[in-house]
Amino acid sequence: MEDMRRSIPSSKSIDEDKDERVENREERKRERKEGRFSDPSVSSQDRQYGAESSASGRFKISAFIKALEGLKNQIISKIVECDTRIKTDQTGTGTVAQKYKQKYLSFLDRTASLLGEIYSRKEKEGRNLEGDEDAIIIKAFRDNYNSILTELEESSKSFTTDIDTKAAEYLKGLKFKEITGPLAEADKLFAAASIKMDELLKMISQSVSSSGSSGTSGNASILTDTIKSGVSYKKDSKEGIVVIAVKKTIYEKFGKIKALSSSKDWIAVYKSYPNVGGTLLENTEAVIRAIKAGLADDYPELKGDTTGNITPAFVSALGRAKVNESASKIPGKLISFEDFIKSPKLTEGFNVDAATSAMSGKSSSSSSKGSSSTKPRVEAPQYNATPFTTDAEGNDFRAWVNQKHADWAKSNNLSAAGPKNNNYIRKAYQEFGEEYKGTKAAPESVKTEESFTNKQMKDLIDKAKNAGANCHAQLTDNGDVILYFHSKDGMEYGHIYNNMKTYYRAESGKIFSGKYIPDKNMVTFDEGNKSFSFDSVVKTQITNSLSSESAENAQGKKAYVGSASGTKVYVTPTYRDLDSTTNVIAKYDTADKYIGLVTSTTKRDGKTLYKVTFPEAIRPNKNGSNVFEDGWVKADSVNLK
Amino acid sequence: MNNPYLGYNPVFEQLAETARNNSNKLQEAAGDIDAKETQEYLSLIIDTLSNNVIKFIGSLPYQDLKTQIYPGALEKYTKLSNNASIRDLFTNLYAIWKDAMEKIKASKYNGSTDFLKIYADANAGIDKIMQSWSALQTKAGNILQDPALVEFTNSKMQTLVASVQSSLDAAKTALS
Repeated sequence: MEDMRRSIPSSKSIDEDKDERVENREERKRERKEGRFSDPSVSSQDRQYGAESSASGRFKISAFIKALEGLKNQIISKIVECDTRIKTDQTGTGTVAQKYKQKYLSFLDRTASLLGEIYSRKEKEGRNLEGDEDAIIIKAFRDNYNSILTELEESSKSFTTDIDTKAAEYLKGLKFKEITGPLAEADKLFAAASIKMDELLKMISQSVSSSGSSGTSGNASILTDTIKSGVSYKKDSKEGIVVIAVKKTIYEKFGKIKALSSSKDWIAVYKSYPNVGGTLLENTEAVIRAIKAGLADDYPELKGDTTGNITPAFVSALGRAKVNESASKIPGKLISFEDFIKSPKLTEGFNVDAATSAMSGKSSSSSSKGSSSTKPRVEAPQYNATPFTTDAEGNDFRAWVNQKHADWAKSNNLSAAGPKNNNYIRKAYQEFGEEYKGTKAAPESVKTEESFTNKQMKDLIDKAKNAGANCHAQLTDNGDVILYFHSKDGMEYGHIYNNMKTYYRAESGKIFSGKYIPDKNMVTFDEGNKSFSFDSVVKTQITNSLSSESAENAQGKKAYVGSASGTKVYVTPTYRDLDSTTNVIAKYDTADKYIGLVTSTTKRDGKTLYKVTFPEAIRPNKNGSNVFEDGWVKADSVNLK
Repeated sequence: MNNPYLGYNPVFEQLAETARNNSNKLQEAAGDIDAKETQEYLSLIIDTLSNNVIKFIGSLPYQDLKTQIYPGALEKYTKLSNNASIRDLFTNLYAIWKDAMEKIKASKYNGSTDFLKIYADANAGIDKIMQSWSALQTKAGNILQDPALVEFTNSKMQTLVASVQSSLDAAKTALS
């Protein structure tokens, strides 16, 4: 009886259940609606599977999440593909995959940040963002999403082409066409499917990516009309809402730059922050001009705009703008919008000198004259333009400076990738251009006595193959042949160029440079002036000897993270823990960071390991009781000084 | 009769003759492919099949559909490094794909022509690989039953599975 009584719900609980059911039904209805397209450019059949409803003038968060999840799945599957190709490099596609994997990882990182932010928005704001109030936020979401999607699409296309070319070459060399024929056809079908997948993703994101066509009319008009300065707009007017949003975004994004936030214009605009008004007068004008000047290097459309007007180009640049990583350290992936629009992984893009010059110039003039737009803009210190015609050339130079002059690159905020002609790279070129030209001249002198011809390089590659190396020829842009070699698992690899220059990358990411000496059939490396036989180099057997010091030499030296970007140093409590990196005290990936003093060395499985005493004890878990005074690192991941 | 202790048995003799003939036929079909080449082709076919099965199931663009299909497929995939024969491996790997295709066709997204086109292409690609596998079986015949080759295949799958798992773990860390 008791059981029966328990199973019969009271009338109150029946009502509650009913309410809950009704609520759930409504919820499901709403979710169905939110998942629907109403963009006429999308085919009727596919419309219902995509992202955003456009009729309401709102930004549908759940639809955006769906689009992002699709993007995330695509990126992860590319990373998995890259890893597998690297591990099973039968067709020679592993090297191609190695090149693309880093790109996909960075896309994943950016997508993760977007997902973290949109989920946190969903929690705070509910289902939608409002077109007018959240215009800039929406714009930032769309721009970030679009930028990842476009870059992913481009990378996927070139990845597929590169892979297909390599695989086709390999298949061509196999004799049983009845086996390889269907495989070649399969590759073509998979490539076609991949292209269609990119198109589908684009379609899913149609509403996400469009600006204005998705029915967010308030948003569209905000972003296409210029809001003139010199006016005090009402707080709740269309213009006033945008002015407030722009002011807040500027504050959130650039408020940590002291040179700006300590200026009198800034202080006047933000004295009651977060309360800011719709006025677009002198002080706000000065701040906007400063931001425009600071962003102009990366957003050329802002160049020459010395007004305080809020233009669509300015709003767009503001949404996409990047600031120096050091301005804000972003822990974890669930970040605030403030952090999110700071694009935490990007390292440059705001020219503080130009901004402060523009601000101070205008400030002094405005105080004397009142009208800001008639005075000439005070230009930031300029450097001569670089000779680079493509971003790739610029990036080569950036990478070279980051490797050769790591300290300088660090203190001057020169990132390893970025625009080919902004002030950062110009400054670097002024400093190191001549030296760089010297290094570039070498590969061009293919026909000189010191360089191998392509035929000689091919002989060298055959020699490496005969020695049992995993290697093959690669072509430079100039059509020169270079020798690429790698370990079985692809974790260690290197190149020998036709001018004999040799680069060797250890598993940790540390890069060693040296020179091949044909007469002796040896490679001599700059670090420690160590020489190794050609065979042992191309068979990647030298990492340990190359990077390690003898026990007596290493002791008492200071261990730093290797200077090549991408070098990772894991510190573990015992040397046995270095076999796997699960029990880690600390992980460092900042080039040249000091780790500690080497106090002893040991060898394990042929690898040299150093025990280091830290400058300050490390407590891996803030709340934990474990405190470490010393730990172990792999010799091939550190530099000793 | 090779065994002097056994008397003449016409049934046994006939069976022995049939076996000898079949063995000759198998060797003829194998043509000039040797064990090393067989391993090379086999490795290539397994890589292509495994990569694309995992890739296309993993890149399902609709999260709800992926949640429905991917974990199960992955679980089965991780158990593919202990096959009694190479044929078993292909049967099981192909079954994972076919099962996913069935679920895709039965899903609410079966009205999306653009989506289905992608998986129709991928499916045709997988079928081509199976055609290639079939050609290798014809060509290599008994070589494929060599225990060393079976061991090689299992170890290869072990590497592939470990690689997929570690990639997914790394991605999970990046997303956490």
